[in-house]
Amino acid sequence: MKLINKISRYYFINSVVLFIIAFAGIYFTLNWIITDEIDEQLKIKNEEIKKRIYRGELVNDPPFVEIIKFDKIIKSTSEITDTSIYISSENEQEPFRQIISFVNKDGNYYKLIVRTSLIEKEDLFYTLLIIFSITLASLIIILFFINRKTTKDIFTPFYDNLNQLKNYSVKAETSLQLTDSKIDEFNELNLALSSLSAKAVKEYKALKEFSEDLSHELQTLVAIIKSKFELLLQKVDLDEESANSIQSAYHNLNKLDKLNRSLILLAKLESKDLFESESIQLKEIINKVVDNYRDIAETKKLKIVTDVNSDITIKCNAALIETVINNLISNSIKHNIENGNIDIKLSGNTLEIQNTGESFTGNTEEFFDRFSKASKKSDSTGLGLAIVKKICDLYGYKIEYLYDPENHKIIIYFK
Amino acid sequence: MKILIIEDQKELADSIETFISQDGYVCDITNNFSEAKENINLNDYDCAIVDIMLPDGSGLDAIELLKKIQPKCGVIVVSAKNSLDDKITGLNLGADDYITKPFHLSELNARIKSVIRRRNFDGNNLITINELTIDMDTREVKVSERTIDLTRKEFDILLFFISNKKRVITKEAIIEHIWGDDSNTFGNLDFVYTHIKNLRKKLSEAGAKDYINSVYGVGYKFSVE
Repeated sequence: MKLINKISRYYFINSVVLFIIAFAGIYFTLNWIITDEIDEQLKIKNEEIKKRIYRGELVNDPPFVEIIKFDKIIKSTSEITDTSIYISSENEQEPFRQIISFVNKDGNYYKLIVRTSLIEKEDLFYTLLIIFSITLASLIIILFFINRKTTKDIFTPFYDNLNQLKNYSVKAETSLQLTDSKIDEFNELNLALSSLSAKAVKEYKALKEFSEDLSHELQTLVAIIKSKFELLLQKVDLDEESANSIQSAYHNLNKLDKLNRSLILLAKLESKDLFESESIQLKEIINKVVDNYRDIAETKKLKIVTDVNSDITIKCNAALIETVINNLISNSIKHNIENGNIDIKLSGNTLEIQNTGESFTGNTEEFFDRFSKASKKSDSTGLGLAIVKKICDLYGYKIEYLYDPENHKIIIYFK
Repeated sequence: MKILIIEDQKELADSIETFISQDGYVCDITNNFSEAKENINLNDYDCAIVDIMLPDGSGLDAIELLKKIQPKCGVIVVSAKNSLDDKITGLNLGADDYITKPFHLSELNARIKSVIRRRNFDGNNLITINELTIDMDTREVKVSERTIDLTRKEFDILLFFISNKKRVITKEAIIEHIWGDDSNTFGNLDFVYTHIKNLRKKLSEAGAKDYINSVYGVGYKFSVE
């Protein structure tokens, strides 16, 4: 629930409760005052009529005054009660207040009832109800307009800023530029966020530079070590044991090199602008990669079936898209089983690569994560799919991994 | 043949020199831009290996100078950055090839050979080793005038061997040369063996000497006297 609505709801509920209490309070107070007044008047009128009875005037004016002859006095005190009387002209029961007393005039006993109509009191209730309802309705309408205005004045910049925050990435390398608000709390929040983003950008940059520098330093060192191993291998009197040791060191150094290169590429894959784009016919790249790996697949007795008829061209960097296709197809070979299949299908803007393989035990959500290796046996860096994912993200291609016990399937939707 | 190595990592430059001088190349090593300028002004080179990142300047400037003074000299750009910009700028300045650090010495050597071969092209583009004749234009291989039919990859492997003859070439270097940078991650590298086995078979069936020897599990060597 929005803050403004939450606050309005509180206001509304509390106002309604307050109005009910006020209504009841005012109604009962007024009612009491009026009743008291009516009683007072009834008593005065009662006394007046009594006096007229004493003077011998028996005024009967039903339903307001009724004088009934009685044999005896039942009660010496007067009694005031509410009652309702049928009024023939109105054809309904109307409320009345009455005072009943007994009069003794020279041995004649009379029961005297003096009444007054309570219709005014009923009117009071409805009048009050109408006044309160109108006030409450006006309050709600005013509240609605205040809400609209506040939302526009206060919350528009707030929502603008919120949107900025949602789309913000430290990779943008600029700090947040938030809209100023008229509200102090929001301004303070903006200030805190801006400084937070500035700090994050600075630290992100520093970290990025550090890892880039580190990678380049490593590259240089690896280059030297690699060249020295290659020279060692040229020794004429090399025995098998030494050769194997060098081979093992050299092999692992190559893996380190590969890992380092992948990390450099991953770090660079932050912005499209770093890579020149051109129009590329996808099927050409796919056929090229498949042709390159066909012999490797054959040593594993894999059957590659390609169905690439789509003439789709995409606008992106040639080396990057080749890396994507290359990583996916080499993966489908690496993680396949003996005599397995690889089906590559390009139709419309969708590329599907499906291959048989051992079951995937990991979490499919983490499939494209760094170092989430399905098997330890291959020489893969564990970064291949992370790179694929990042390149797809860079160009806004959706990528999916589907899996049933025998088949792994990766689908890319090119734009 | 005279080669200029402009590389700030002295140890790497020494490795390159040791590896390529086996073929009778004479190398001049410079570790910075100012020395490189002197060398370019003083000597004639057939090929230069130029690192982009130098302590006192950019290797790109060295390429520009080299192309101005010695237009016939081949240039191979070496960069630690896998940066396309360097590659494009380097090639636009007239560099013949581009290689990223770290590289296999055998790969660099093959590139140098290729650049020199292209630069010194004088009508016939033939490589002859004893009974073997390789025509670079038609990609035809003959053993004592008898043409043998090689697949594209077999031909490329043979050429890679010949460029690095008398040296041990690792399986990794062969794979990267033929299948590309990304292909070294296949746990099983036996597919190289299949190609080399076929190549040896075709050569020996045509009557060639068996030049290609396996060196333990490490790689292969093209031995020729």
